[in-house]
Amino acid sequence: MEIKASFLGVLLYSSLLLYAISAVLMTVRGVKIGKLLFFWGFIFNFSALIYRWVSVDHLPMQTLFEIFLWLTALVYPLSCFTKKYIDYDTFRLDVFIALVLVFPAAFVFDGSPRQLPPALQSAFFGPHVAAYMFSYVLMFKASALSILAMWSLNDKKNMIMAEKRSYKLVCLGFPLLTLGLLLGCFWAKVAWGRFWGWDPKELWSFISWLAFVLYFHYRYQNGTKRVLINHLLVNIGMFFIVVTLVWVNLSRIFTGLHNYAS
Amino acid sequence: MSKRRTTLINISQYLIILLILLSIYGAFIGAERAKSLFNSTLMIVLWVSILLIFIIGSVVFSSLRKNVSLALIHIAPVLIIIGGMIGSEKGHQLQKKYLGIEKAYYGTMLIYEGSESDKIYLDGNSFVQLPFSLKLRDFKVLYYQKDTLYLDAGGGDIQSYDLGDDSSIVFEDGTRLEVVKRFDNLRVDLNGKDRQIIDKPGEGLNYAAQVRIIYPNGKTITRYAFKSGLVSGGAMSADHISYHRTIRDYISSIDVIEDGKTIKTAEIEVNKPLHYGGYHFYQSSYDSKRGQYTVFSVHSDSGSMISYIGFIMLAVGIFWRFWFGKIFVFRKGLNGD
Repeated sequence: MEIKASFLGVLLYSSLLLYAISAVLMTVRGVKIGKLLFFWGFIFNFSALIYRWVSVDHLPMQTLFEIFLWLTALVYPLSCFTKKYIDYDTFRLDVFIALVLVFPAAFVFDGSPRQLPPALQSAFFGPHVAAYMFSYVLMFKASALSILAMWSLNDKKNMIMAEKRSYKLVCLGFPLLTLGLLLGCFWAKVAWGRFWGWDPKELWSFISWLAFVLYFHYRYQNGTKRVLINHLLVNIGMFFIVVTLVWVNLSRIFTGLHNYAS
Repeated sequence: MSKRRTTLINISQYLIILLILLSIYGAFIGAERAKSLFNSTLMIVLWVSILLIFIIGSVVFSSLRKNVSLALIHIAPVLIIIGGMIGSEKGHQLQKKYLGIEKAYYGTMLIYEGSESDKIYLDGNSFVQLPFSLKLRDFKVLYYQKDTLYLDAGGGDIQSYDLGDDSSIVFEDGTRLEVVKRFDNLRVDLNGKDRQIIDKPGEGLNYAAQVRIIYPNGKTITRYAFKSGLVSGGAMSADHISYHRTIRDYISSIDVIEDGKTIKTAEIEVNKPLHYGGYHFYQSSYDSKRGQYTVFSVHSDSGSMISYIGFIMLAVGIFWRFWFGKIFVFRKGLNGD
């Protein structure tokens, strides 16, 4: 376990605490105060991100610690944004997503700052990683909605409503997932001379993208007739994203250009 | 949905699943073997099948022709695959065999400072000669300002110390370590009466730091720390010290020479290749000891433009379809999907 005994740690653990209290309050009762604490958790989280940005003196998107700091900071703003578009309040669900994401940043990943190697000093670095992070949070939300709906298998109406919401979140996230993949291809061409290197991370990103392509084709063919399969396909896509983000980066099985394990 | 359309969309889904399964397998076998797998003859059959599905799909599904965003999304992968095929090793072999186009698919170029080369080495001694040459005027390595000392305190316990502006470290036992001077390229001058330690930047990459170790009893020693490690004769509790700088960039300043004339000057860096004469030249490696030569990896640009167009079409089509075609519908509530 990695404890961050620094000002950054204070900001990070404060946001974690606020998220945790908010999750409890929104589960038991007191949604209003819970939402307020969720907001303040975001403020501390965002401050940690800005502090990190200033202290490392480059876009903090290099290490898994920084990536998870970003992912968590995106949850609250995206909750506000998607509430309007899916016509559904997901704050209660999203605070748990924030908690799940902030935990590895707070206790698992090494928070030591690193200098950017030459390969990452590119105009593609920020947009490529940012596109992926926005899409991952949106897909995470879509997947969480699907999992919740799958708990109530007998309530067909609820399953369909949740599927439509989940579909709309995937529709928001999929273009960003595509953009992340394509910017990665452009960047690879500029940095290494080829669009595609069959690196494990590249392949897992492609697999995640293909899983959602399959979902769209299946849904086009079947609509919400087999709603459970739609939910399952969203979760398969999300499973591949988790593999891409965590397993591929940390496991020594998938050595390659994107691996952090070594 | 008609039977014909159902069959076609089923085949599409089976192909996607097959591609997912093969990619999962590819991810476990490593990049080199995955590359061989996806360029194998059997896979070419799969790629061609995917191309055919896209073409048949655009005939069977009129929406793929009439709806611009859908058309872009489904034409783009065709272009990306075609571009990839033209730019592949096999694509280059076929172009040589049937069209007489002799172009290196991939190779490397090694050039010493002050000299020029027009040869792309493919493997071993075989090479392709270019109609122009590259002359390396200068090669330099840039470092970040922040540097680090690594101390081996024994038992494999290696601690790192980022050097601040005052460039000193005070240990628990009161020992003080100061960086007195930094060298970009430390050299020993043996020409004079006494040997002298001098800095000759630009003539090598032997960066080092002169460190002064002051013990609590007042004894002071001065040593040199290198990236390779040991400070000779050190007698402090942490007697193995190495000095490290993090590389910020590698820059090769080159001239493109054609018919004896300099056509172009450029600086090739990581993330900043040179595109000239149908090839991309990338900063790939360098002489890490003396900094006297640079190595470029050279890639043919065949098929690149087709793939670029495919990528742009795919991005535009998907954003158009999913964001601009749907976000405005989202506002109307859940009925409008």
